Amino acid sequence: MKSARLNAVGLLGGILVGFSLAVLLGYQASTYSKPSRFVRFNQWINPQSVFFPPFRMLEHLALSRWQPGQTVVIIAGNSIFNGVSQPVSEIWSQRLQEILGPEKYVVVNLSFSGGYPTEAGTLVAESLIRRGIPVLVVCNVATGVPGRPVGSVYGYYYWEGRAQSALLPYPPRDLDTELWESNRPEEDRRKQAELRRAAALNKYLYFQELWHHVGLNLFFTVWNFLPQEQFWRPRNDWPDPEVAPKPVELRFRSNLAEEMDIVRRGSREFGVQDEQGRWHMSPSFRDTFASTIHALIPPAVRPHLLMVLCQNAPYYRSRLTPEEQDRDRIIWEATAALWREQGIASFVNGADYEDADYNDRTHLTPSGGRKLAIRVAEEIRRMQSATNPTP
Amino acid sequence: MLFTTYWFVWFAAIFFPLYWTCTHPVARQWCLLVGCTAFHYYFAGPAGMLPVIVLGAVTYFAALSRRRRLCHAAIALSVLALVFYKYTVFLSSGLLGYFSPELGAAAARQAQGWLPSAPPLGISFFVFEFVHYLVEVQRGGEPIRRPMDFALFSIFFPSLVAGPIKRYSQFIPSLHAGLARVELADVAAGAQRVGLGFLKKVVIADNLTLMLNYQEKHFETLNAASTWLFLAALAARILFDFSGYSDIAIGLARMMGVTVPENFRWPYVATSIQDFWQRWHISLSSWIRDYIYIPLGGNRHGAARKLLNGLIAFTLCGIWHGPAWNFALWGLWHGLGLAVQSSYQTALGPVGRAIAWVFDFLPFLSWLLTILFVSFGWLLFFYPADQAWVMAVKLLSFR
Repeated sequence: MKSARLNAVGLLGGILVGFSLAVLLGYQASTYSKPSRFVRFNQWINPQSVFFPPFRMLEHLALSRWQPGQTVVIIAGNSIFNGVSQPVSEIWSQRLQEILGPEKYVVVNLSFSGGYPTEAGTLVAESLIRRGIPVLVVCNVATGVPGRPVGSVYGYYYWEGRAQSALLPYPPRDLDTELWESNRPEEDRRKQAELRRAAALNKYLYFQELWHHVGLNLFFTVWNFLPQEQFWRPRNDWPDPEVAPKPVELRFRSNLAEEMDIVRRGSREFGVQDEQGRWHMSPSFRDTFASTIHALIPPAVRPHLLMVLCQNAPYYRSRLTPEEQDRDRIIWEATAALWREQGIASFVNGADYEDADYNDRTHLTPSGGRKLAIRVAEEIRRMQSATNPTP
Repeated sequence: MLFTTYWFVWFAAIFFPLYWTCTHPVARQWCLLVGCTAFHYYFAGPAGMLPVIVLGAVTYFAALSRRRRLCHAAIALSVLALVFYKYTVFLSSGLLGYFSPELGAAAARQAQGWLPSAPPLGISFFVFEFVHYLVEVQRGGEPIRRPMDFALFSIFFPSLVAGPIKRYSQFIPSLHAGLARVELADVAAGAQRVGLGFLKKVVIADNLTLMLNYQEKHFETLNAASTWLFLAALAARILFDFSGYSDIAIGLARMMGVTVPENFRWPYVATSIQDFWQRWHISLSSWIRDYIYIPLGGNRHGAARKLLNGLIAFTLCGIWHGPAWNFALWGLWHGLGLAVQSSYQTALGPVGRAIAWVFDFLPFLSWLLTILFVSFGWLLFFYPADQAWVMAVKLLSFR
């Protein structure tokens, strides 16, 4: 009887010690864990392969490179800025770092395929702003309103950032999130509630940081169709798989009708014609846009943001009718103007690019990436001198 | 899987310390009732808690009255509720639709209008527990007098969603013991069991599920070795998934000082189908035996009737897992397997006895046949019959 009790005490004590140790290790990991040789979130270290880099890891990626006197330039947005179609040695964000130089700027690419400008990298920028670290965020967008920070696969960043009190307090965004949640089906509401609970728990227990650190360095525990039977291999073992783009003559071949429809929709849905037949931004869209920006992006963040509207490849734009081309040009420029009206720097990129600069409708080749880096660097220097004359 | 939600982590973090620190049995039982109600309420889904409350109340009072007709009526009501919530659409489109597609479709549409989008939480389990309770009371068992005990029997959260199916005569004394005192050894053993369950479920079963879901789409392109690995993974997946869940349920109950029945006992070492069913989902197979097979006559009315009773019992067992033909066929598969196993020696005479001798002499062979039989059965359990057939043919063609 006595030995049974002793065994039980031993076991429960062991569980308690093990659990505490795991929390401590998770906390430790949160202060230093990041992917080795990090350049971008390639397919092995992003949700595509069930690797969900935690908020603190993104923060650490930005902070670990920063030195006092430097401005952190966070690249946010989707696969275009992630550098899909650019091998890691030729990725545009590295070019941007080279152009900006290592003295005053540190560029960190925190973009994800399918990411919105209100998610991941932009939220991490809020955390840096709170800490008083000079930061600029460069995002790519298309026409239309930006998506919410919750609801997509990257929605957990918002909940983690909020739980860790890393985000700037902004009641309109909280209200918008609550309203959005209340209008979702029960299943979605529960999913969001689970993400919120996970984030609240992780604030204290650091289990995400521990698991991802183990997954990066020791072994991975979740099967995935990408590595298949080698799913257990630590993710740091896998090299960035992005390959050089196809020759120009082999690009833009597939799904022309569908791609053209997307290109047309990019301006058709937001434009209206006046009596003289000239295209303008629809007033109702203008209102929607303004209210969306008001609801999603805190005013304190806006001066730090640069929205780059990435045009479709000329191969597709040249196939539009002259009237459609006219509408396309007007609506894309008008969207950039709308961003600027909200206090967010913006320009349209790619209008003068060639087919060789694109690997498909949207993704840039290394040559397109170089052009982008030059243009973005100019804009960053301009923003920097406007917001902080002495970086 | 409700135990792998963050809601449950928060719930357990609040509930268990409260339960352990309430040392008075009355305070502890109220703590447990509130916990069970919160659990059921949160996960109840669109049907809410009303079905379990109504059926529970009817069952409680019918048993308390000990009147035969009232008990029969309560059993009928519980079974009808199960059929209504879980099988109406299947009976309309699957069964009626077989004879008249238009009529079946119309009936299914009508039924979908009446029914909540998901059946009440754990209805398959609590209906079986209510039926067991009413039958046992009719057979002379003592009814549960205290409403609190009955409520806890009905919505005891560890076993609510996926069993094990409890027997009230074992559960109530164990519940009282747990409410009176929780030993540290119980907490430790329970925690160990919960840990094992999570390991089986989250690390093994969930990974196998991800792999199988992917491989299933490419099954036609797999080579012979991969198809057989697929079958092995399928068998492992359901074992680790379900037994992991049962381990968690048993462990959580144990952490409260409550014992619930075991559900698995190394089923894949079984050397016959009968042996398998004494090791697999034991609480269900014993329920089917006690409340379907034996009341139908069991093996008391000759060989033909015994086979028929077995087929009926196993088909119902299959259907219980879900409202679809493949579950019925899976049940029938096992019913037929048992029928063959129990009759081949008599039916084949000296040849049958020789085969039985070989099996006795070579237990590895009987194990191999049993595991193959069970594994091919899982194809029927997981996939529609036509797909399962195609998969089985590919497996057996060794290409």
